[in-house]
Amino acid sequence: MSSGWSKNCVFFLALGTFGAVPALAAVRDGVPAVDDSLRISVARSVPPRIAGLTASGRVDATLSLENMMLVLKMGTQNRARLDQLLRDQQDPTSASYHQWLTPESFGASFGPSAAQVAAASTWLASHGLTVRGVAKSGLAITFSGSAGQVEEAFQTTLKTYQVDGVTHHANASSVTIPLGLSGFVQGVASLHDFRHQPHHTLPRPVTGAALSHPMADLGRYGNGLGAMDLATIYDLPAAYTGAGVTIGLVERTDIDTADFTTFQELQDPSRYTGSLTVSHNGADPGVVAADEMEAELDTQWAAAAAPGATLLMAVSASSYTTDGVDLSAQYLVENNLAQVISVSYGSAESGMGSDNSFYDQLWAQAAAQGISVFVATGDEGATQGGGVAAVNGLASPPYATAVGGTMFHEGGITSYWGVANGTGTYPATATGYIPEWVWNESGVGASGGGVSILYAKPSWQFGDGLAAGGMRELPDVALDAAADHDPYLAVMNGTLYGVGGTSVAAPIMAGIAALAVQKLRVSLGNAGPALYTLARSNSSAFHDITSGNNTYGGVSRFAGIGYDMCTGLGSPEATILVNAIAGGSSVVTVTLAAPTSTQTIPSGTQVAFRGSATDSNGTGLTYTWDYGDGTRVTGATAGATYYHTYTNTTGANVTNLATLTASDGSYAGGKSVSILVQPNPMSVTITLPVTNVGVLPGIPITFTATVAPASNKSVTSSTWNFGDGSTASGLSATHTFSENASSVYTVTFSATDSGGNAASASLQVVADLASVMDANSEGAVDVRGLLRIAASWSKTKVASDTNLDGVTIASDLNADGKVDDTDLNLWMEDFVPVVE
Amino acid sequence: MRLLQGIPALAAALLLGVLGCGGGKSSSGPSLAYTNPTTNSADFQLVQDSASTGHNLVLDLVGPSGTSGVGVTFSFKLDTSQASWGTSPAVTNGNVFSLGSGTQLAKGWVTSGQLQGIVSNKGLTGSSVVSDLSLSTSATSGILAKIQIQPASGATTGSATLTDGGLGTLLDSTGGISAITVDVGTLQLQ
Repeated sequence: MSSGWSKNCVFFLALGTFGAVPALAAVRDGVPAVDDSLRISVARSVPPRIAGLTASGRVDATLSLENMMLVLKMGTQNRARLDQLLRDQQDPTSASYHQWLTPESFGASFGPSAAQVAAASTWLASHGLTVRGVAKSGLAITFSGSAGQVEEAFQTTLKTYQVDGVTHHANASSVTIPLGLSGFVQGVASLHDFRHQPHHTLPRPVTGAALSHPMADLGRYGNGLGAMDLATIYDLPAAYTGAGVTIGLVERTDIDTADFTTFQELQDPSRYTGSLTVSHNGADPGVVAADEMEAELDTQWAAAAAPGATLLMAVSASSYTTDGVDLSAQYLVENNLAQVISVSYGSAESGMGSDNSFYDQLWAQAAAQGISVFVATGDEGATQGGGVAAVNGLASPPYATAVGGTMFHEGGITSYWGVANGTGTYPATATGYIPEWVWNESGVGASGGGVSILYAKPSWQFGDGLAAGGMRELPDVALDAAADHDPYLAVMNGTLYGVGGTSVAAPIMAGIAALAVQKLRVSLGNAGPALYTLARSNSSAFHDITSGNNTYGGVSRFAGIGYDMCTGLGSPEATILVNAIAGGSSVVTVTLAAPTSTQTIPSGTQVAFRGSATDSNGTGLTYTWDYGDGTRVTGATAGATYYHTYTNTTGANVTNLATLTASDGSYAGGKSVSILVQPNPMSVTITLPVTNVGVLPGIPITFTATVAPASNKSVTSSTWNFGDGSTASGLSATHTFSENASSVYTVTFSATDSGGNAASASLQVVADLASVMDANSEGAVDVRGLLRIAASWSKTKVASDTNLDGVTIASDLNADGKVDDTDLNLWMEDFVPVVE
Repeated sequence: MRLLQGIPALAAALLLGVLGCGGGKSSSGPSLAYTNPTTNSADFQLVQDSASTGHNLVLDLVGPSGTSGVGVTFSFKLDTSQASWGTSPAVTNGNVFSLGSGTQLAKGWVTSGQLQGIVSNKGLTGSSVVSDLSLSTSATSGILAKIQIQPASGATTGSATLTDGGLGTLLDSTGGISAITVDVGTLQLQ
């Protein structure tokens, strides 16, 4: 039994307090006479997972069933009053703004009446069931009894089913309750053991050399994300750690807490000033292998985002009928144990029956108490794994913030990541924000998102990309969730793994919320209204993800400009987001003078950008242009015109979101404009022999290009410009740079086709004796450079140079694609002075 | 040679003059005496070869016991008023590296009294070697390179400076290059 629950509803009500909140008179519905023979079926109370299955047997009638929950509901008027209060609590002009309820005052204000709770309890007892406790809200009654008693009370049968080789049990028919209770009883939270699913991908052990360093180069799996990478990519504000804030984590397993420590030691231990507490709600389930990684991810990545926060891991054992996730979630809310809650589990809302009402009411209660709830949307795209459109019922209630998934999209630009495994003690391998698109990895997972079938679109969910009216859309925000490219690192039982999933994104977002709570010094409550308001006023608080889809099981949602049902408002720019949400008094308003609307341009087109901003405090502003294709201009000048040329060789349209950001140091604003770049139908590449390297003056160098003309067109001209006044024609040309040269030359190849399309490609070469002979790049020409060439002898240059570690490019003095005696002789001949 | 084209004729003439003096085998004048460095098992060492004479000092570059590699570079600074680098030539291969055919990397260059040298396998395919000699003038194995020094014309008795020039590196069989320090003994003319 939950230790924080009242054992006596009357006693609880006597102690109920309204605290500092405005007086809220509860509406006490009457209790009609309960005639047990007049029954009503509870809709959707048969678990969909048994649809089409044949029962393998009947549950033993003597089987003891524990921790079942009878879910009660608020009266219609109470719910309307609660929804109004929740709006007021987010309205800065309201006296109720950020005035939070206690569980007791919530129950007194909005819960069912004592008479209703008593009637429901009495009815349970009349069937031999034992009431174990009543929630402080009055919205749930925990009870236990035998399977036979449950069948008799709810007029159903409990049967066994074989699913994927595992024996499950579930009620085979709809649950019924007396008609007299139906006005305030919703149903049973569950009578089956089909559990909510953890939303992480299959962990892959990180082995070999990468194990020795957390910021690992994982080869084909990209770069392992460490805590410092997270801080760098999403710009976590260094000034806040979540100190003084408790993040509640909903779990149903223990972990070896040494893993938590090990993970931090692999990062930067000095960052971590918070703590981890494991709190058992009832019996200790021990370590449940199937759930262990989920709890590891939640603890390690919530702390990675909020290293000073207090983590409270609520652990409840699952019973034959009740999911430990439900029990832990209620435990945290009922006892008001955290300001922020993260949940990484889920089920399709269409299959949750009474569980939907349980979470709808629980998250509303949490919001009223000031708790911000973040729930992973799931890893099965626009479905929840059933092959039909569905959203996670734990995330869909409007008073939860749904967190989806993105993945990084470098677009071939290598500068987003530093040297593999980094340098220094605890480096961030990532060098800054990395463009993202929708997380969708074939055979691995995709960002959960779609439309709720239960909840109307909340009043605050509007803005670009959102249609007016209709049903609630998910997710609200998103962060990286990729497993292949690039996985999060996590430690389980002492082993380092690479893992992805929205269940990593959720605790990270919870951690970011904790930073805001620390700054604000008061709980935020439901984060949704603040996030959508911020997105409408300051687009730079989010990285809008505009490309990709979450197609899964044949069901798709697509990313686009503004809100979309794959990534919501986008991923957080955490410093701006935290400062803005946590009570910024300064408003930075950015205005774009050019372009002012979406531009559609062919590849190779130069676009002019101009903009400025105002700061309500009159503080000086610094400007940054981000052209959306990986190019940024920092320290830009207000009102000045900047030019940028967009290229697109992908073969499809590419939308780049160009953003001007202005910051006064504490607060920032931004304005974006979309640049749709059409693909160039003709492509040109210079393939050999050199790429951005030195060449030896006086040595003939052969350059080669490849041209792919537009469809059904032929190449009509091919021209080389070597940057020193010399030109040549043809796909291949040989050029000798001046013997005395010591310059950087831009070599450009241009081609046109019979359709009038043109394309060009360039590379820079350094024709400089000293720089070429300094083959070991030490800044001096000495015999050590020759040893570097000796090390590369017999090597052949390959495109990616993966087998040579950059050696051959520098050692191939005559740039003929190989390192041989010719290169040795060239070096020795040119080393001055030569005295033997 | 291409670079000699850029050297003024006067400088070339002077250079030839130096070469001519350095090659002398005169038995007159002071002779060279070399005292091996104090043993430091962690450093590379320059020790006297048994083929040394008073007018043609042969020094062996040897490595610490257990050292493996496929090539080395080194440099030494010499008081050229007292001694000069040998010219037959100044740097030759020891008995460790396999220089292969074609262009061989056993070579030295002198500028401003400093000798820069290299002795190396070509590529990383040669067998990795271990220099495990005892540090003595009788070393017969594990010699990475041989260096020759001769008395300078007009040398007088007394000490002659011979120091590590700081360009020592070791190439290992994986392509890694690391800096090395060479302990040098004392050079006397007597």
